[in-house]
Amino acid sequence: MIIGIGIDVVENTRFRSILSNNKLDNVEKHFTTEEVVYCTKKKDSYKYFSGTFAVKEAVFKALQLQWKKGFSWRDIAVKRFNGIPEVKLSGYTETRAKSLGVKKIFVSISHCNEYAIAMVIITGGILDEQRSSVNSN
Amino acid sequence: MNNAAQLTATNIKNEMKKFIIDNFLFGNENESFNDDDSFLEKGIIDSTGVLELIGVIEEKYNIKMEDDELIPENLDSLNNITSYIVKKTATKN
Repeated sequence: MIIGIGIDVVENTRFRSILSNNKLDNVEKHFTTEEVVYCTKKKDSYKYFSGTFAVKEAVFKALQLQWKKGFSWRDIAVKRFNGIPEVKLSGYTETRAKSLGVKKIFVSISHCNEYAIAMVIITGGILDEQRSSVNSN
Repeated sequence: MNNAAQLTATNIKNEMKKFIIDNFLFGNENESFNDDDSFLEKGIIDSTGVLELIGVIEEKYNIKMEDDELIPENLDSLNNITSYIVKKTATKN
């Protein structure tokens, strides 16, 4: 069953500024090496960083994560297989996903000139009485 | 904290407040926020904005934020940012 959905839209110019001001120093804190390699190969790489970050944010919302010590955007890694995006989790994010009984994360990304948007649907599940116990942690 | 340090903290707080107002509140100083307000909870800054904030902090104060420093206690309010920058620059000097 569906246990979470998330959606996020990112204005591309914001990542263009982030990249132009700090080159890759800043993005490397939040993106995996694989993500950086993938995005920087593309023309107008900032659009792909926007889309990748939109996926991370969508997953964050779908799993109802919290920004706290131990959380890293790199723990939500966006991978591409023949151009199809998938998400691999690690760290606190993976622990949270396991506690919710996550089985599969479906991802879709779209772009226009000004924005990138990503949507995530998470399937799996635990019994409702177990969920309220998990959410209180 | 002695007077020189207080002045530095005040300067940092004013600089960061100006950055936030100019970049996230459309330069509108009437859109005020308290020094302890959570940026994310109050909707002042979004997640992408936190990335932008990190970039500005590193460049403006010539410091490098480590992975374990990317936490709300260091970034999610004006007072938290100010305390972090003061501590980090004092450690560096």
